[in-house]
Amino acid sequence: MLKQIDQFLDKIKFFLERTTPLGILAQKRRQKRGTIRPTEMRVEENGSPPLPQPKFESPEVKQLFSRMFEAETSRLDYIIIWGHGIEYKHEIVNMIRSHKDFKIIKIICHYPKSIRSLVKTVYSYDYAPLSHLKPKTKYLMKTPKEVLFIFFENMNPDEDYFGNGIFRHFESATLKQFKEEIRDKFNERLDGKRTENHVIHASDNQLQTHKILQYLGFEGVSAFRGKNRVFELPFHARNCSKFLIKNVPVDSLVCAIGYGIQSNFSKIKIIPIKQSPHYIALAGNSDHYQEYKKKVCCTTHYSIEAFKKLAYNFNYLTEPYSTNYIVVRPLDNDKFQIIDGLHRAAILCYKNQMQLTVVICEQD
Amino acid sequence: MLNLIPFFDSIDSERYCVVKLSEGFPTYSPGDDIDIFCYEPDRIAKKILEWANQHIKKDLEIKVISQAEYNHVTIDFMDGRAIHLRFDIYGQLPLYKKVLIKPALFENIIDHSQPVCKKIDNINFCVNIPDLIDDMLLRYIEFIEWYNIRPDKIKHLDYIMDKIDDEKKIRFLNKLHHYTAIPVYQDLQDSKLKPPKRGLSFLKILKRYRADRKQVHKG
Repeated sequence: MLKQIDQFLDKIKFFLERTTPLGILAQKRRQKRGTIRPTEMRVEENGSPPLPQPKFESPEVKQLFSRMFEAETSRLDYIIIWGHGIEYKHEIVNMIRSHKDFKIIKIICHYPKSIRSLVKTVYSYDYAPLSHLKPKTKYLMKTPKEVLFIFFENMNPDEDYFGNGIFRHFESATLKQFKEEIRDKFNERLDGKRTENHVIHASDNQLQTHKILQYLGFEGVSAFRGKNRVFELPFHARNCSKFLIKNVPVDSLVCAIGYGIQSNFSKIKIIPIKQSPHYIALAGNSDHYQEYKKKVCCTTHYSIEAFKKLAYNFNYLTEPYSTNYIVVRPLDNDKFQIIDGLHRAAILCYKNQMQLTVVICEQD
Repeated sequence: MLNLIPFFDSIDSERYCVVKLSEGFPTYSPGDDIDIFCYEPDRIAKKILEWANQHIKKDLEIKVISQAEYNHVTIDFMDGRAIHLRFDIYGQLPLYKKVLIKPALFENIIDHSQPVCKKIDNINFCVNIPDLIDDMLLRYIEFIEWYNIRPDKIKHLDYIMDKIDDEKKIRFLNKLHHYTAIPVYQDLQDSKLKPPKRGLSFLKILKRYRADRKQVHKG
């Protein structure tokens, strides 16, 4: 009987809280203090309690994370080559380049101040708790402070669930198989068996790629997903949506060449193509090119032999590269700065072409 | 004059249709445009550029505008400052303000398109064009959208009047009513028109009542 009276009084209290000004005021104060009663007790407000919502960090992240349910299949992934695997970078990059489902977008050499903080950042967005990963990543603390990030488009992610219990996670089967191939080939071996001191780490989902790009100072994967899909453009020109294809004199083309020490390669000088290390290498002196290649992390550049071989057989804008134009941006002094295709421009210049067909990219 | 035949040969295996094709095709006048509906505008744009690589050397510049958000690519062949020929490649229906259109019309038009083959200088080539009803529908929508700004769009109405008969009229109206609607006020967000007042004030009703009574008494 007392219980029924209590329930009845509770109902009156609820009613008064919702209808009288004093009750509403009290309710608002409780909301401010954060002591508001849980929703399931306030059935009279919404009819039924709402479903629990997953906690996403921001709408952008939510959008990225939920891409797995979209019809578009490709996604952005990355592979990091740790310091002790840097000696195999050419082989690993070539393996990625020759994979039919991967298309390299950007390669970044990174010199972290502390390898510990880098490891923490990389594994912060992993599916497993950091405490479980600590013993697994201990070997990384002794590796050199030089890593290579390779960002690529995974055109066939073939995503599925892997692992059990707390380690169950969503991952690209294509990338998982590929990273195991690399680890089988390049991981250190003891008594003929592969150790678990992995030379590379790969992303499990696009959110991890997004976070690593932000760590490196980019705005995220949106920086790599451009508005244009007609031309093959480097990532830094992907915001262009207006282009002009025209013939320009070779003399009007200039290029930006970085100089400085290897880990601080931020100084740029603008020079004509004929003064670029690429042109000078074709003309016979390959020292400049080799030096430049070392400085710019080398992986995006050809070896001097491969470059000369390319120059010998090169036919600009022919199948299957008929829309792979040299991309330039206009400068103030009627010159055009090459933003993609310096190797091609150097070859054509070396072959005494007077006019080149280029795409002038107008940044939005 | 650019030779369009090799281009249309190169997209023979693609799913596309050229809408509002001019009767003189493949010849054209400087400033003309060719509207193409297709599922992959970027792919068709690449084909145009491959074909155009032959023509850039003739001092023609090519302007490309890619609007990914509207799935639309515009390729202009420029002769100096004037447009020599424009390709408008659509991956979805263009935006119309005066008529509401169901997006499915776009796929319906491509799926019902038919090849039209021609022989020019002993060379056979085919171009996919929309079914006559779809063609009339597109022209009608174009006329409605632009008639108050572009009086020359009356040509589309003349074309429809020329081609239509009783049987086609029924099919045309059925399809028009199925896929389109006139926007209501809420849809005209840009419109400065105000919706009409729905109710009369009490004083107005009283005035009207008195006026009616006076008329009755006079009568």
